[in-house]
Amino acid sequence: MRSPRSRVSFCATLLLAASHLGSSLTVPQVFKNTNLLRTIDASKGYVKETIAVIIENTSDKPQTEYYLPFSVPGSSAVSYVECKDKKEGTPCNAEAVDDSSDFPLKYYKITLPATLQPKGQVTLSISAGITGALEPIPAIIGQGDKQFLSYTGDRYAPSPYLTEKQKTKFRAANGEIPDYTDFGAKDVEKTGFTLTYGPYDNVKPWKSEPKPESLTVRFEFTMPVIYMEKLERDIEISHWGNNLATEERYWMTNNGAKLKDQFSRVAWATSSYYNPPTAAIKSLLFPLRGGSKDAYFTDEVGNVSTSRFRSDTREAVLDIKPRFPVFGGWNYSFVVGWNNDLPGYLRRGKGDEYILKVPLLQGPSQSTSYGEVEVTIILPEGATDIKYLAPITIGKEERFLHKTFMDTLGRTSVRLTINNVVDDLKNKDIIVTYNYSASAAFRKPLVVLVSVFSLYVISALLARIDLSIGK
Amino acid sequence: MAPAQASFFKDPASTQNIRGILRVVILLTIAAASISSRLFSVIRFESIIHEFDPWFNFRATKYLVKHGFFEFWNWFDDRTWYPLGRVTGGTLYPGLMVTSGAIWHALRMISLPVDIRNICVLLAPGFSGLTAFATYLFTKEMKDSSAGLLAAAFMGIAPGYISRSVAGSYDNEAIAIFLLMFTFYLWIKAAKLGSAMWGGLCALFYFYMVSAWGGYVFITNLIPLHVFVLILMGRYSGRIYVAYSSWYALGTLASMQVPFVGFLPVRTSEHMAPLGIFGLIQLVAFVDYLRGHVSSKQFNTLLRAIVVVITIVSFSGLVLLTVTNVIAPWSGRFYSLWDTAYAKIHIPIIASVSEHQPTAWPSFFFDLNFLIWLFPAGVYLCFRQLRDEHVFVIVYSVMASYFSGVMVRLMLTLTPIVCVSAAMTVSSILDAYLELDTPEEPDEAEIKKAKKSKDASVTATGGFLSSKAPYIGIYSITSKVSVIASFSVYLVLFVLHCTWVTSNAYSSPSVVLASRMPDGSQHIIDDFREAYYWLRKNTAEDAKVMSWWDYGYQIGGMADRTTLVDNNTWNNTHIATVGKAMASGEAVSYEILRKHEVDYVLIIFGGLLGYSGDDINKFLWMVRIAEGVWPNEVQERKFFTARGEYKIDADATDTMKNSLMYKMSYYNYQSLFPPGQATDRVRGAKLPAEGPVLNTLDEAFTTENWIVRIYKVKDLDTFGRDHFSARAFESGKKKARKTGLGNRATGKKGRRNVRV
Repeated sequence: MRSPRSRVSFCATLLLAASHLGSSLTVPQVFKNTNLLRTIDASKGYVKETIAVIIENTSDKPQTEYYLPFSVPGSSAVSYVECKDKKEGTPCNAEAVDDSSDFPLKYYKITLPATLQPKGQVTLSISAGITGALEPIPAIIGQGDKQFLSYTGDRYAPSPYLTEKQKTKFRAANGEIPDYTDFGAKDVEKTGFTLTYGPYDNVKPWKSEPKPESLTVRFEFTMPVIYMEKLERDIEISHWGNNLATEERYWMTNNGAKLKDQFSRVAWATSSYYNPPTAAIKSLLFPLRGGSKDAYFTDEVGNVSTSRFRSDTREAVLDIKPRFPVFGGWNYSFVVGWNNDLPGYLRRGKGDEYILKVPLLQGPSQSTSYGEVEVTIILPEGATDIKYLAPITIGKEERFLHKTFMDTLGRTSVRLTINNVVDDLKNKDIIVTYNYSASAAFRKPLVVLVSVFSLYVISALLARIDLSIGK
Repeated sequence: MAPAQASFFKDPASTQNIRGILRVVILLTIAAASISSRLFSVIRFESIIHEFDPWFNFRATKYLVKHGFFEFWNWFDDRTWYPLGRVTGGTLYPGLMVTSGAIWHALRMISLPVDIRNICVLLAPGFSGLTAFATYLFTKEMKDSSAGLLAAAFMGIAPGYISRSVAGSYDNEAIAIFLLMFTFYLWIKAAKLGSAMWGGLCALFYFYMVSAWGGYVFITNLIPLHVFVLILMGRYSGRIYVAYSSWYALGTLASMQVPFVGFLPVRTSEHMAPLGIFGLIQLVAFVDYLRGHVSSKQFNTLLRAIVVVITIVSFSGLVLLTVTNVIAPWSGRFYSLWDTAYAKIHIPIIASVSEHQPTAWPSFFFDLNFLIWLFPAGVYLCFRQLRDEHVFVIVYSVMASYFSGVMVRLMLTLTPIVCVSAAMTVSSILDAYLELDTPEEPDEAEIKKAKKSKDASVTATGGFLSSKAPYIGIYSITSKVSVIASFSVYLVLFVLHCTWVTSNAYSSPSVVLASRMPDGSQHIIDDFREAYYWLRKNTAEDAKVMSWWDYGYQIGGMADRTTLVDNNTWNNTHIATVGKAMASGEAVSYEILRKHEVDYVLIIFGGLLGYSGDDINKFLWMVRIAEGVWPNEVQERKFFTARGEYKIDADATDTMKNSLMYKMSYYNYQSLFPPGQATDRVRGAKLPAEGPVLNTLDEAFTTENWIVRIYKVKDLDTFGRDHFSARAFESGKKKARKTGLGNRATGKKGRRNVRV
C-alpha cells in the first residue's frame, strides 16, 4: 500500500527525470491561433500582459485544454493568470504547468469554458501579471534626473501553436520612449504612449532554437517602483466588540533607479516647491472601505504624525507620508491599521455558522507589487470548522491558535501565504465560514467573572488571617 | 438629631469601617490623579520613551525580555563604545529593567500580552501611585492618617517629582522614589517597634533600591545619620539597636549582590558612615549592657578607656586602609556636592550636564509651590513633638535641602520630605480650624488643673518644648472661616500650578518637538526620528555612527546602530576623542574617524529652526573635554575671537571655521538662502557668504528641518590621493566644464544676437 503522498513524490520524480531527459512538455498540436493581440502594459511598475486570441480547433476531436506560455526570463515571475471567454464573459480556469524545461517559458493549461468542437472557434482573453520584468536603466540616477525603465521580451508572442496573424502592443507609462527595438520595414509604429509591433503572419510555434528574437523598450517612468518585500496583514474579528480590526505591516523598498550621490536636502526642498514628478516615494494613499475608522500609521520608532485620514460611510482614505522620501534602493517599513464595524462583513448562516467576507488585499492605490503576502485571519476564541474560498491560489496555509488579551485557549487563526503578488488582486474578497457557538461566546466573560471573583475571595480570606504571634 | 449625628461622627469605634473605606477610596483617587496627571505627554504626543537615558533603559529592557535574565546579567554590548564595548550587565542598575520585565511576564501569565514599550512608558506613572501610598504610610507614622492622606495627595502631584516620572520618562528615578519612601517607612516602623522583621523588610527594600538607582547612597548615609543623631541625643535604645543592626547587616550583604555595586559597600568612603555607625552602635550597646552590671564610678573610667581606645584604633585603621587604597577615597562626583565649582575645574564632563548645575532659587517655588513655605513649619512641628521618627524627618530635611541646592536633579530627593512636612502643617492647621464645635470657655480653675495634669504627663514622657502647650481652641467663626478659606485657595492654586507645570514644562518627550501652525493646529517636528529611522533602514547593519555622547542612547535605541560614545560616560578619554574629532580640522579628524572605523557622523543643527539645544551650542564642552586630554592639540582659547566672543559668523576664528563641527553644521546651508542672506536663527548671526568646504565627508542625509545632519565618511581615494587634492582636482574639473558650458551658452547667445 502506498500513501497518496508517496505517489505524488513518485510522480514528481518521474517528471523531473523526464525533464532531465530533455523530453519537454509535449503540447498536442490541436489548435491554431487565428488572430492574436498581445498587449504589454508596463505603465504600472510591473508588467500586465493581456492576450486576446481567437483559437480554432484543428483536430478532429473536441478539445478542452489549451496551453499558453508566458516568457519569464531572469528574476521575473508570473504573479497570476486570469482567463475568460471574451464574448460570453465566462471565466475559465488557468493552471500552471509544473514544468520548467522550456525556460524561460512558463506554461499555463487553460481549461476552456466549453468544449470546443472540431473547426470551432472561441475568443479568449487571458491576462497575466508579471513581476520583475522591468529594470531601471540607467541603474543609478541623480536626485532630480528622469527615471527610465527597460522591458525585454519576445518579438512574437510565444505559443506552442501556429499563429496566423498576430500583433503586439506595448504600452509605456508616458510618451517619452527614447529607445526601442526597431526590426525595420515599418515593423513598429509609435502613437502616443503605445508602440505597435506587427502584424506578423504565420508565426511558427515557439522553439528555443534558434534563439527567438527579442524586443527591448526603454521608457520614462516618473513614478516610484513600489515593491513590498513583505506584507503581514492581520484581520481580527471580535464578536463582542462588534469589530473588524485590520493591521498591515509593510516592508517597503523602492525598486527604481538608485540614487547616484547622497541625498541632498537643499535640492529636495527647493524642488518640492513646484512639486515635480519624482521617482521617490513621497506618500502612499490607502483607499479603504466606507465606514473605516480609528486609522493609525506607525513604524518601529513610534507614531508618524504625517498622515491624514478621512472617512465617511461610502469611502475612506488614509493618506500617509513616510518619514523620509524613499528613493530608489531605500527601504522603509511601517504599520497601518484601522477598524470597521463587523456587521458589514459578517453574516450569520444556519445555526452557529457565520460567513465572513473581507478583502484579501487592500494596500496603496499606487501600483505596487508584493514579494510575500501573509494574510492572517483571526477568528474568535472557540471558532471551529473553518473553511475558506480564496479568489486566487494560496501558496501555503497554516492554522494555529493566536493567544492574546484574556484568552484561555487562544483564537482560532488561519494564515495564508501568497508569494509574488501584484495589486490587480486588490479588493478581491475572501470568504471564510466558521462555526461559533454561544457557549464559546460566553467563555470570556465567564472567565473574567470567575477570576475577578476568586481574586476578591482570596483577598478577603487573606485579610482575615491573623499572623501575629501572641496577643 | 444633630447631637446624635455629631457623636456618631466622632465616635471612633462606630466610624472605623467607614473611615477605612473612605481612606481606601481617597488613596485610590489620589493614585488615579497622580497617574492621570502624568499622561499629558501620551495624550498630546504618543506612547513614546522620552529624552536620552530612558532610551537605554528601554533598549536594555527589550534585551532582558528577549534573551532572559541570565543573558542580561552577562550582557556584553558590542554595539556601544565602539571599539571598546561595554559590560552592560555589570555596569547598570538592573532594578528598573527587571521590574518591567517581571510585570511583562506577569501580565502575559494572565494572558494580557501588553507591549513592553507600553509597560516601560507607563511604569513611572504607575509607580507614582505607589509612591503616594508609601508617603501616606510614612506620614501616618509621623502624625496621623489625615496628614498621611494630605501628604499622599501632595506627593502625587508635586511637580518636583512629576518632572522625573511622567509617562515615557522611563528612568531609574521612576521606581526609585517609591523605593526611597517605602524603605524610609519601613525604617521608621523598624525603629519604632524595634522589630527585626521590619528591619529585615527595610533591608529587602533597601536592596531593591540599590538595584534600581545610584541614589541609594542617600539612604545608606541618612539612616546611620539618624541613628547617630539619636545616640548623640541620648536616645539609644534596644529598638534602635535591633532595627539598625538587622537593616545594616542584611541590607549591606544584599546590596553587594548587585554586580555594579559589588564590594563598594566595604571599600569606598561613601559607604563608611553606615559601617562606622554599625561599629558605634555595637559599642554603645555594649556600654549600655555594662552599665547594668558595673557600678557607676567604675563604669565611667571603663567607659572613658573603652571609648578612647576604640576611637584611636578604628580611626587609625580607617586612615591606614585609605592610605593603602583598600578603601577608595571620595569620588569626584562626591566632591562636587560640597564644592559646586569643583566639577567645572576637574571633571568638565559632569559639569556639562545641565541637571548637575546648582539649583536656581525660583525652581524651588516652581517645583514645590506653596509646599516650600509650609516645609519649615512642618519641620518646626517635628521639633515640638520630637519623637525618634521626627528626628528622622529633621535630619532628612536638612540633608535634602542642602543637596537640592547643589544639584538640580536632587530636587527629587527633597520633594518627598517637603510633601510630608507640608502635609503635617496643613493637617495641623485643619485639625485646629476645622473643629465644628466651639470649645466651651473653660474656668480658670479647670485651666490650671489641665495645665497641671499636662505638666505631669509631659514630665512623664520626657518631652520638652511641648510643655508650654496649654489648652487652645478657636472661638471665633470668622477666624475659622478665613483660615480655612485661605488654605482652600492655596490648595486649589497648588493643584492649578501643578497641572500647569506638568503640562507645560515636564510633558515634552524632547524626541518630538511640537509647534503651532498659523491656524493654531499642532505641528509635530519629528526630525530626530526621521534621521534615526533613516539610519535604521538605509545603512548597513554594522555601520558605526559617531555623534556627541548625548545622542548615543537614542541612536542605539531608535537607529539600532553601533555608537562610539553614549550617555553612560564611563570612558572620558573616548569621549574626548570624539570631542577632538569634532573640534579639529579635517586632516586630523579624518584620521580619527578612519581609526575608529566610523561610517557616519551625526550632528544636531538648530540654525534653521531656532532649536537652541544643538551641537554648536554644546561645542565648547566638546572642546573643553578634548582639551582636558590633549591640552596641546585642542585649545579652548582658539575658538574665541580676539575679543573673547564665541562667534560663528564672518568674525569666527580660523580654528572655529576649520573645525569639523562647524563645517558639518553649515555645509550647504548657504544655498538655502539668497546669496549673502544666510542666517543662523539660534545664534542670530549672519553667516559668511562662502560656505564651508568638506573634503573627507559626504552629506548623506539631512532632515526636513535640518535638525539632524548625517555625513558619510568617505572611503580612501581610489587613486591613492588624499581627499583634499582629490576634491580640488574634481572641483577644478567641474569648474572648467562649467565655464566651458557657460562659454558655449554665451556663444549661442552671441550668435543669436548676430542673427538678429
